[in-house]
Amino acid sequence: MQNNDQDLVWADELEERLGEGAPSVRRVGNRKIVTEIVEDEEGKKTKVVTEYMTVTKRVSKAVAERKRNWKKFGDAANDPPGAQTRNTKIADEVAMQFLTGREDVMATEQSNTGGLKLSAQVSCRICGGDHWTTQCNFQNASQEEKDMLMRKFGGGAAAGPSVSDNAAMEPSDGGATGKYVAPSRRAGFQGTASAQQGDQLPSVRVSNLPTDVKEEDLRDLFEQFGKIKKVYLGKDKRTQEFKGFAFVTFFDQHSADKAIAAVNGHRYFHMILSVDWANPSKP
Amino acid sequence: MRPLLLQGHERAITQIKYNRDGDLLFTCSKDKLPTVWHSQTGERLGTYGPDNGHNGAVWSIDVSWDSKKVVTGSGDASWRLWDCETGRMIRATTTPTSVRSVSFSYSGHLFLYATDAQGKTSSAAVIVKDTRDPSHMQGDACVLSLETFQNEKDKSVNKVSSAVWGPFDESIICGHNNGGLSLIELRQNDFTITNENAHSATIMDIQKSKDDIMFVTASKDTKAKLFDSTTLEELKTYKADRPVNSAAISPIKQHILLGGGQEAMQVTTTDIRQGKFEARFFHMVFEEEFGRVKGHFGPINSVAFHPDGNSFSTGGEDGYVRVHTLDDTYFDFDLTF
Repeated sequence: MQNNDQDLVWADELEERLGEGAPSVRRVGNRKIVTEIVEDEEGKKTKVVTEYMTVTKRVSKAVAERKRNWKKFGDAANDPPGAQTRNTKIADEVAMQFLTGREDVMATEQSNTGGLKLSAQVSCRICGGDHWTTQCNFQNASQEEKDMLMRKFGGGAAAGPSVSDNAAMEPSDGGATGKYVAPSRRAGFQGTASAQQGDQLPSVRVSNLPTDVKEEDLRDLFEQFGKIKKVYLGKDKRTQEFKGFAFVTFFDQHSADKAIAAVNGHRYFHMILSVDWANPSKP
Repeated sequence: MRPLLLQGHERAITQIKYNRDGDLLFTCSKDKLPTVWHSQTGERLGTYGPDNGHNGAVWSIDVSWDSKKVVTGSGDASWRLWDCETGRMIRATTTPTSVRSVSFSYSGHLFLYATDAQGKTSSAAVIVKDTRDPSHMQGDACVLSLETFQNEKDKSVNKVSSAVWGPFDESIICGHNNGGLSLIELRQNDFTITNENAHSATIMDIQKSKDDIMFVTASKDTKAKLFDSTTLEELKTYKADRPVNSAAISPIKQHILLGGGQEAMQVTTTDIRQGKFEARFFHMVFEEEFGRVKGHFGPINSVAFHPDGNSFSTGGEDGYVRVHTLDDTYFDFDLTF
């Protein structure tokens, strides 16, 4: 550290003093803060501040004995006490990814092993989804709603109700309209590896809720369709007032399907609920 | 969760093991230095060597129940017995071939080791030694020494790739490199039960449940299986789509942990999934995978549950050991059917 007297500020001075001796140790409550100056081969000095949290645990006598009295040996004999940053690092945060339901796993395996999925050949005439028309959840929807669904799910306008069964069985990403459809919007799209992370569980958006609704109420309402991972209430950023919509995350697709089919359009106190798939938020 | 990353080894990890209290984590790798760590803080406690250390890859390590003795088996054709606390070598004995698997009995007095076959000259064997008996330690005397049988068809030797003690130290469970399982009863001094078709490829690892009544095998044939430890009867099968190198049973939940992945030499030929190196959790009874934990960038070679079931560790071909503390999302989760 080369410093003239003029530009020697108090912080540098402090660090210079630090560099000379052993690392400084400060204790704040249950935290231990160790500051040391490390010099590398090129003579470059770096200040390393390591913060430790002291945790007191009750352990058996043998464990305490080993922790307190055993000295380091072998290659570690010359290591100072405590964990060494050279050998022990804290890795990046990882979360356990939960896979739920056999179907999901099978779908993942199948799409990963490559090849076209059979379901890509099937396109629903009501909603444009990758299932047979007779199995559609929107059987009883009005014509207007059907049209909206069709547009929404990218089935292509030509695949309307007038198209014969044969036509509907053709891949919906075909050239019926001649328009380009992005792969991610084609029926039967199974997602790329990145879109298929296990933590993306099926969520539904519930809107038109009475403003005095509580999280427990929603849990009560939706628990009958399947296990709920999380309920999120939409609140105003400033006032923290409930804004009348919520997201409910299920553990499996099937429960979410059921919830949408059963609750959408039904009365809840004085309001008519609207339930639909939540749009995945932009990364 | 934020795992601890233990960077003590220069080469692929071969086996990791907790002691009975779970405060120490023993790791060995293809470099020559078996290492012990404090599992809670990730602090390196010491290495067994380099004084009197091994000269080759260390394939297997085990610690006695009282954490007093450590035994290691190595590719340099020797086993070594160490004082756990000081890292001092107590005894080393050379064997005709490399030692593939070592295991302490429940009492901590006996230990077994399994050796490889080499060519047609020396056959694979399972040997049990008593640490209290000087003639065992210094000489060739042993409690039991059994050569493994040959294949009827191609005369290849069914060497033991993984071996553990059965319940009450009365038997030894051996996994063979042809996928077969066998049980040695110590009183009979011979193989008493064999299950030739347990797996269709090498059994890489055997780990027992906490009460010793079951054990789980991990095999290159992409499956892990649960067996009864007295009859070798197959109970459950856990299918992965990649070779399984190690499997462990949770001491507190009905969960099985699998580690594995595409072999390093095949990784470049696989697609963007890059070999799938996650640790995978299966439900023991439903045989259903329910969770994955990413982290390694090579196949996982060894997995171990902490004896209290609240954390687990994985050691990989990438040379890292990752110590994970399981969080509430794991404990809150239960499978619904």
